[in-house]
Amino acid sequence: MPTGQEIITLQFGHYANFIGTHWWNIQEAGFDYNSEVPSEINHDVLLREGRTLKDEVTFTPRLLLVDLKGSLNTVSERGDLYDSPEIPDPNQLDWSGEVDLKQVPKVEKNEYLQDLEKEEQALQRGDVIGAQALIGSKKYELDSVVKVWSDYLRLRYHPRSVTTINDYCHGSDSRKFDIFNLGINVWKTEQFEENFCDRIRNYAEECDNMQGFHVLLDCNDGFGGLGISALQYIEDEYSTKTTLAFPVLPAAYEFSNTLADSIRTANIALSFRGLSEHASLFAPLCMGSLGWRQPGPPKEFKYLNYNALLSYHTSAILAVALDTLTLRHRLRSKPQERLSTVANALGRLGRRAAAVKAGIPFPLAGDGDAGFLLEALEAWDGPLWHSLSPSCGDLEAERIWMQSVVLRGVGQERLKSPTSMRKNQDGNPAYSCSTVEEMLKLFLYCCSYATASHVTSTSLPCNVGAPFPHIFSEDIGIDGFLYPETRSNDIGVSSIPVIAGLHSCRSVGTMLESLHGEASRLRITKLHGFGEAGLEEDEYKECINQLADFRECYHEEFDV
Amino acid sequence: MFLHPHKLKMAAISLLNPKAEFARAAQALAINITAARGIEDVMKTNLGPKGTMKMLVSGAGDIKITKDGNVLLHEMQIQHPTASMIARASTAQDDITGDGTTSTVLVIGELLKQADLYISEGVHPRILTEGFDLARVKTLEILDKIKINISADKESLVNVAQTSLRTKVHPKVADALAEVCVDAVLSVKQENKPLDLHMVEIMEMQRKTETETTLVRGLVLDHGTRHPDMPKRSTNAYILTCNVSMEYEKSEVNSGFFYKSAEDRDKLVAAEREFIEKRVKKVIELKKKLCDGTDKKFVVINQKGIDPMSLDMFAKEGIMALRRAKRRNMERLTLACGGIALNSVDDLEESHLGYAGLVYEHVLGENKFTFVEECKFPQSVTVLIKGANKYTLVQMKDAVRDGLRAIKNAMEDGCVVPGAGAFEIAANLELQKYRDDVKGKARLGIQAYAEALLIIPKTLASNSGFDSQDTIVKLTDEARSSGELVGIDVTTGEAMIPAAAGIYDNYIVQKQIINSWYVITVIASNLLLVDEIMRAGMSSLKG
Repeated sequence: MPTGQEIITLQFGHYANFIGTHWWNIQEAGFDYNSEVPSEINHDVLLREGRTLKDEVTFTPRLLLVDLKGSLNTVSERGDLYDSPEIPDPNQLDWSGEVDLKQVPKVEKNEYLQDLEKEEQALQRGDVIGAQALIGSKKYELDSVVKVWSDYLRLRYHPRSVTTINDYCHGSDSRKFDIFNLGINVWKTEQFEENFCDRIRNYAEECDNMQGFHVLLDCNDGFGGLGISALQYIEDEYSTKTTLAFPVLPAAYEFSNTLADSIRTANIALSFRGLSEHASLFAPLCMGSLGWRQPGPPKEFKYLNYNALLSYHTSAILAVALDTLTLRHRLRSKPQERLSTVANALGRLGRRAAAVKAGIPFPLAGDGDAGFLLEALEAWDGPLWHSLSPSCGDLEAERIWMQSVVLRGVGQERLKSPTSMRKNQDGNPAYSCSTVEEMLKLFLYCCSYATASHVTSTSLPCNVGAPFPHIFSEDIGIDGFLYPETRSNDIGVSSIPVIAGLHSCRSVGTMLESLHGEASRLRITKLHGFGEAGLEEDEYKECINQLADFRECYHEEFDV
Repeated sequence: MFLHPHKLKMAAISLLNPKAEFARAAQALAINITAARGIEDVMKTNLGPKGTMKMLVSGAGDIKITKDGNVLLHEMQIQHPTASMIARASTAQDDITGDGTTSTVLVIGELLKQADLYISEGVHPRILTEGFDLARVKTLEILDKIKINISADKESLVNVAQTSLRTKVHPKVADALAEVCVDAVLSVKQENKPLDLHMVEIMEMQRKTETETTLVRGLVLDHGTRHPDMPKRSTNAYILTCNVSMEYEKSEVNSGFFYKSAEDRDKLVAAEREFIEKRVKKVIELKKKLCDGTDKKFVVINQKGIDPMSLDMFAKEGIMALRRAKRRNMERLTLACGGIALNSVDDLEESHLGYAGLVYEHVLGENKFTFVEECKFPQSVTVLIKGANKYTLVQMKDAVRDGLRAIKNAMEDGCVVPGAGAFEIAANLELQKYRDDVKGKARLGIQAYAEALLIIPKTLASNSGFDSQDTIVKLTDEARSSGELVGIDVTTGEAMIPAAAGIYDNYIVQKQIINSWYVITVIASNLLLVDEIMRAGMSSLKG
């Protein structure tokens, strides 16, 4: 049978990169460099092994990311893994005349990045203990420091990974990249049609048995258009591969007025139309409860105290959910689960949009009876998870058709308490369950009528050590479980159990309906930017109609 | 668009003094001139073979080394609307012709400066632009008069390429690149067909040694074989170019919830697998028929994927197979090696195949390269750039592109224009004569235009360390007395005949620069428009 299970990740836009950065950090934190036994998570799915010209082995994300000029801060576009970071002496250049050096002062690194640098130097000296002591369990306060995603980037990228759009500047007021069609126009430039596509091809060529693509895209601005164009290209060139897309929306905007809100809504509508056509499955993500014109009030989680104004916070939560729900096709399991299985099962009947729901952390007591899954589920009150998709709340009359749920960080030893074995075993069929998967599946079966559920579980928790933000309430202990005594202020949480999943359900229909409602109210001719960037009124009308058709897929009259 | 807080006050003054309009226009123009100056200053030092090389280092340590105006403009963050308008007009110039960005910026900046002189003296901008238009038409005539017709022979093409490249890279490198570029273009040029530069592949190769650029009469692919037992070198080889998936992919039907048991699934997998295997076997069958018992080899280059099992089958037969080739390489391969690119292997026969004398793999770190060489009549070739770091490779790649464009332009134009400022000097002299034939104030526009053109030889002189006024005087005297086309010798500062030194510019590039004057018209009329609207607003308030 095929060996590789590779997935190529694409990230379009600043917020997508915020999430992506957390996601890669979380994965890196899970690497075990010393163990002889291969990790339960197959890291080769998302990352690749490479070799530099100096014959050093590298392990970097199989990633392509796009952002605007000026958004990288401390990260250099070419990366310093493969190319010497040294700046050549201008007088040594091959030129007969004068050489004019124009150097922007080196960007100051924040405390965390400085420690990261020191850690690496220590490792190069062979001082492993010194390196571990540097960051270890130190608690960083990065909330006010993080401006862009590279401010907390732990990994280093392959020189192929980073692409910046030079025509638009990050945070520029005069020339904004705020229209869907501007992204389409950027895709048509040589930088993308040639170079970017070539980079995708370079990754794909290395893969022995590629599963497909994970695509994160900002869909409130021009990156929507860029991402959709990329999806269209992938559908064309890699027609047998599966694409799982996550359109993302920030939970707060720096700037907001009626016009800007309308533009965003139109961008989202156009993006969703594109996704419904070109992605195998897509699941929108937003930490605001509404999402379209305005993010709306932030989503509430019982054990999280996060600041919705900080992308650094909200993106971290979304990254935890992503890292968890994609485990289904990233674990070393037998038989191997593939992305195509997930996407085809959930996306049947044309229902290519799904909702993401997660319980972060999955609340289990640190000790006592309530620290066991069985007891905890028995005493459970309310839903296991909350929606992370915009305008896709927890419906009263929710009906889930299909779901793929992943529970992590709850090992076999936490399945059921040894004492409870002796209590009324016969009364509850859950006592006969011998694995976490079995038990959760049974629970889901009892909770939700006629739902096809797929459950994946792993004992590996989600690592949330530095530079993950400190967003957990004080009830959560350092190991991510609930404790009666509060965690002291100078200690961060290092790992948490999480439940997350993709759901094909009735509320996705409501989500699409609300977007359709907002988008069809807009008069696109009044939004001049779209016309100037090449969108015609008829095309927008067509888009609205297609969204309505897409929403139809979620009506249940014709279900069998 | 050019609204300025002071404008409101100025419009108020105009109610009292009808003459004030010109003063206001002049002041607004001054603001725009400062903006134009900004980019002009940065770009000015680029011009010519003696210009300053720029090394840009970003805060994160990204390095860019360039002397190319177009590259620089793309790197600059331009906020001012007029400046960005000039920048866009100039980069558009590059998009069309591949060169002349710096010259365009200089000429526009200089025209604005000249316009400023006259407008401040009370000349209406509209009259001035009328003059510009007359001058432009005349200059185009002059250009047509002095152009030199060439045939597409190697020597003249090398001259054109050298002139363009010497302004961008070290003369030694420029001369070598010019040769490579001309050879490349002459190889891919087909009789009676427009030249397609896409058939010249530019391939970068990062390695530890020095910078070197060579022409490969065939193709260099940026990938290699992915099977340990596959041959890394084949001689006398058939080349099969195809776009056929040889990769097993689970289809929708047999996935997820739909199979009943593991056996069921395995059965479906086997059936799918067999389907792919059939394709591979088709290719192997042909290989056996053609190659077995001879010294011929077989190479498969596929645009789609080839999975490990298929690779294994090929390897066992001694077939070299490459997957995921560039889409455009499908066309290039067939032009280089012959044969046709296939979308199916159903009716595979010998006539579909191409030929290459040598195919071999070259490994550098994690990167593999496959050379397809010794083709019979290669109509697609590769310029291979080797360098030690990314910024050198980028710089060379930009240079090769410019060289190729210059050659293409010269071939399409069928003519060239003497370089080294000779055209601008000649045009200046002619325009001065022409000025006297024009009646009215429009002649001021012609005067301004004639002056503005001189910015090119002036800058060439000052960049080479000579006094610009001295040089202009020297050159115009020489041109007048000899009646020849005279340019500046950048090493001595004296007059010389560029045609004798083989310094030629592209005709189309010059033509585009002359036409770029429209930016000025737009800027000037914008100024007028804004002011008139303002005045209308104020007077209606009053009335």
